[in-house]
Amino acid sequence: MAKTNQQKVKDFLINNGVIIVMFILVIYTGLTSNNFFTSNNLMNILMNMSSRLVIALGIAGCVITAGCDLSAGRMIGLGACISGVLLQRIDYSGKFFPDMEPLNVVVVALIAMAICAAFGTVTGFFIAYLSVPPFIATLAMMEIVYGLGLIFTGATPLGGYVKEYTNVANGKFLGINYLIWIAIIVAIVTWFIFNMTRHGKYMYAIGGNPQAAEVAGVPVKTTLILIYMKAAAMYGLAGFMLGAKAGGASVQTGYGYEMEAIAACTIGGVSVTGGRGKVSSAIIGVAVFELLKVALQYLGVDANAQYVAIGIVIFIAISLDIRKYIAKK
Amino acid sequence: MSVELILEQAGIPLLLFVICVYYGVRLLVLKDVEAIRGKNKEPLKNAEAYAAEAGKLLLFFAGATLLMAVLIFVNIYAAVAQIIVCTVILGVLWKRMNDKYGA
Repeated sequence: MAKTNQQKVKDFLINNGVIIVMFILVIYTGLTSNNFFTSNNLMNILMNMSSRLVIALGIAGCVITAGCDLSAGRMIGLGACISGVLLQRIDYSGKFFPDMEPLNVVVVALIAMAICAAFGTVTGFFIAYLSVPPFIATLAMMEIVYGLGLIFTGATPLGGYVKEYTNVANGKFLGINYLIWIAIIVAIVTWFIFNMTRHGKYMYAIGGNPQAAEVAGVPVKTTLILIYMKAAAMYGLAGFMLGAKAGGASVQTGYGYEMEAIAACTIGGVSVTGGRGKVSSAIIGVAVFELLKVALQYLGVDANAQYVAIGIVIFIAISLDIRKYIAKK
Repeated sequence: MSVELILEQAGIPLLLFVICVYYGVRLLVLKDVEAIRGKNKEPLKNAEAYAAEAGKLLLFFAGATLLMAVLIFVNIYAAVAQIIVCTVILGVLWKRMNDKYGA
């Protein structure tokens, strides 16, 4: 039965309710605060978005296959610590490897990505070959990575980074921060993988109906391992970016970011029930989430109350997502 | 040893312990396999047995996370070795359970 225009408008409003409310909140904040709509603030928001977008794009792959990745936060911490220990100044008193010269920044980013990807491969193996549900497998990996991070750093915060590393956060190209460029590149690569490769098609097929995908000849197990490996590599990169921005790191870096990323994906339109989601969904979700946080700060909302507000937004977004799924069925 | 230090060092294993106990009990008492498998998955060969086994495995892992939370303060190497071994055991037992009662 064809929907009337009124029904279509109603569905649009319900399905995009969170984004519309956020948009109104941002406009209101902009009108009531002097410094909200400024280029500096915009750049600040984009900087904060950059590492979160990289995480969300990694998690989006897992969510599209009706999975999740709770180990993201710990992997980010590990990535940040690996990057930190390899990029400390030689004259820094608390240097982790006292006699080691700092490595090249790009090489370090690749090392952090590769190590995290190795853990992601193990997670993927547990999910694909041992049939362990994603949330249990990633929960277990979260603990392992956390423990290894504690052993690796001795629970000591890292600092004293070389200028080349902190420049990743401070430096600019064409007036835009390097961190933002990294996020743009990752978004383009992810878009290409999601839309232009066989792996991307397999991913959506698995999310839609894993049994049908298997019958149709989709290498479900290999694809799942690749998805979790790719996601973990992105967390490693996000850890590298966060370390550069903060100028220090510890195993606690990235704590709770996995929940924010899953929430951002859901707000943007990546379905937690699997099979649906685009790169633009993750970008919209991260932007909305970041704008909400900044707007609440500008409106002078108490820091603790901000958590409540964010929690309510996540709850509503997921409820609406499930409503969409039920309506579709 | 202060509460802050305990939460800082062992907060994550303790949180995971609570999550595992919650799902473990939910599986054992309510037999709610959808809680861990998700909705609209292939039907199981024996849903009740699956729920019972999965619940026990989750409680086993809850115990492992609690042990890790304690071992962190004694010997971090032992804590990590313990959780790795328990994760592998969980994986192998889960695979067996899935082959027997799963889809």
